[in-house]
Amino acid sequence: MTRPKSFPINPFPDVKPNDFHKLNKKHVSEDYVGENFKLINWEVFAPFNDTGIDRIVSKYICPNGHTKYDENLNTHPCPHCNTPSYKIYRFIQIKTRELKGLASDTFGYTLKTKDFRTDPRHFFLFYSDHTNDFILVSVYDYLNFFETNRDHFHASPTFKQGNGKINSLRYDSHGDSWTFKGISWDIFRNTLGVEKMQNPDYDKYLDRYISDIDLLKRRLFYEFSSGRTFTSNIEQDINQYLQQTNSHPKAIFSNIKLTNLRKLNTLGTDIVNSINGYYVKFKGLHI
Amino acid sequence: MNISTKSVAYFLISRGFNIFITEETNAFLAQRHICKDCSSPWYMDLTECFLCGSYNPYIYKCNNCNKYFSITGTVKNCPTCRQKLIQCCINDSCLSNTNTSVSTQINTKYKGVFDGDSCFNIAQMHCINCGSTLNKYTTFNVKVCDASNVDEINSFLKQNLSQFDIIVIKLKINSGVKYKTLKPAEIAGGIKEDSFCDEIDLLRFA
Repeated sequence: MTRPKSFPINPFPDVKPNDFHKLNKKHVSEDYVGENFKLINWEVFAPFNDTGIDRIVSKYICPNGHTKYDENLNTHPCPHCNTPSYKIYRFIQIKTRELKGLASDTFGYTLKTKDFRTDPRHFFLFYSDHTNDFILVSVYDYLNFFETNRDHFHASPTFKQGNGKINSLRYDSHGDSWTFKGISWDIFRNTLGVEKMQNPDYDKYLDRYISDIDLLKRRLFYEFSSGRTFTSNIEQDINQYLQQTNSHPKAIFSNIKLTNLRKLNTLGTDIVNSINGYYVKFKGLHI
Repeated sequence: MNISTKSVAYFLISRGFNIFITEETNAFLAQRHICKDCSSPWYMDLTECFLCGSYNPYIYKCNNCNKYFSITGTVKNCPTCRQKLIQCCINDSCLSNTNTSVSTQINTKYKGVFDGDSCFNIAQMHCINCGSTLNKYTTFNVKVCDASNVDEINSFLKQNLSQFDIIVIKLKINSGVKYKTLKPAEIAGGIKEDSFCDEIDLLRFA
C-alpha cells in the first residue's frame, strides 16, 4: 500500500513531473523543489544570475532544535523553551533524474570537485521524479559517509574518468527504501532530510564544521588511485608527494604562488596579457 | 523585483555578489562565496593543479623546445618543432614536471595537467590571497528604499525592517542619486542628508 505523503507533493497537478524530458526539466524541477519548501513554510530564493546554487532556503528556528520541519518561528521565540529564534540559510544544489537501469532503480548523477565547498550549509538535493522523493544530503554528511565507508568512495581522479557518473544510489521498490551501495540513505529522505537540513549545529558550530569538511575533503580528494587509466608505479610517488604538499597547505601554497608569479612575469608581455585576460573574471588574481 | 531594485542588484553582481530573489518587489538576497580566513572571493570554476595547488596559468608549453605560448591563439603544435603543445603546471618543482613517469603518463593520456579532460586539475582548494583551504558563504538580506526627500525616508524607516540585514536607501536629488547603506540597528541614530555618498557600500559589511 502506498503511504500518504506530506512532503514533497506535486505542486503542479496539471502535469506529471516525468512528462518532461531531460532537456526541459531543469527549470520545472527547481521550481518544484522551491514550491515544496514554500509549502512547509520556508522562505525560498531563486537565482537572479547564474550561480552554482539552484535555490537558497531560509527560516527562523529554535537554536535548541525544537522547530518542526514545517514550522517557521518568523522572529518569534521558541514556544517550547522561549529561547529567541534565529534565521538559518541553506544552499541547495539540485540533481533531478529519472530512475534508470535493469530494474529501473538507479539514480545516476555526477558531482565534480567544484561541487564540494567547505560550508556545511551546502546541500545536495537528489530529486527522483518517478518516486517523488527528495534525498537531502549536506556536503558534510556526504563526505563523512564516504570517509566512514572508505571502500566505496570515488577517489578524486575518478571524478573525470569514464563518464564520471555515479550509479550507486538506488531505490528498492519492494522495500520502498533508498540505499547507496547497499547502505541505507532513508535518513536523508523527504521530511527526515529536511530535519537534518535545519540542524542548528551547522550554524552554531559553523567554523568547526568548515574545518572538519576541509579535512575530509583533503583526506578523500588527495588520495590517488591509478585505477585502469594509469600504471600502478606512479601511485606511490604521487601519494607520497600529496602527503608532503598537504602537511602545511597554507604555507606551502603561498611559497608556490610567489615562485609561479615570478616565473610568469618573465614570459613576455603577450603571454602575460593573455593570462590576465583569462584571470579577469577572478577578481584578486592577476600577474 | 522592480527596476530600481534590479539596478541595485546589477551593481552588486558587478562587485562579485550573486543575487537571489523572492516575490518581493524591493528586496533580494545578496550572497558571496568567500575565504573563511580573509574574505577574499572563492571561485569554484578556477582550477588548480591536483598535485601542487598551482593555479591554471592558461598557457601552452612545448616540452621539446621548453617554450611557452599564449593560449589565445589557435595553434595546437609548436611552430618550431611541430610537437604537441600541452597545458602544463607552471611550477617547476611540481611532481608533474620533475617525475618522468608521472609527466609522461599525464601528457600521454591528456594534453597536460590543465587539459579540459585531465583528472589532474581540481576546483579551487586554496584562497587566492592567503592560501587557506577554508571557504564559506555569506548572505545579506537587502531591502531597497527609493526616496526623493528625508521625510519619505523616515516614513519608510518606520516599517519593521528587523528581518533585513542591510537597507540601501536611494535618495533622488537634482544632481542624480545618492546612497546610504546601513544595518537596521543603525537607523536609531537618525538619517541625515549629508551622510549619503556616491556608491552603494555593501562590501564594508562583507
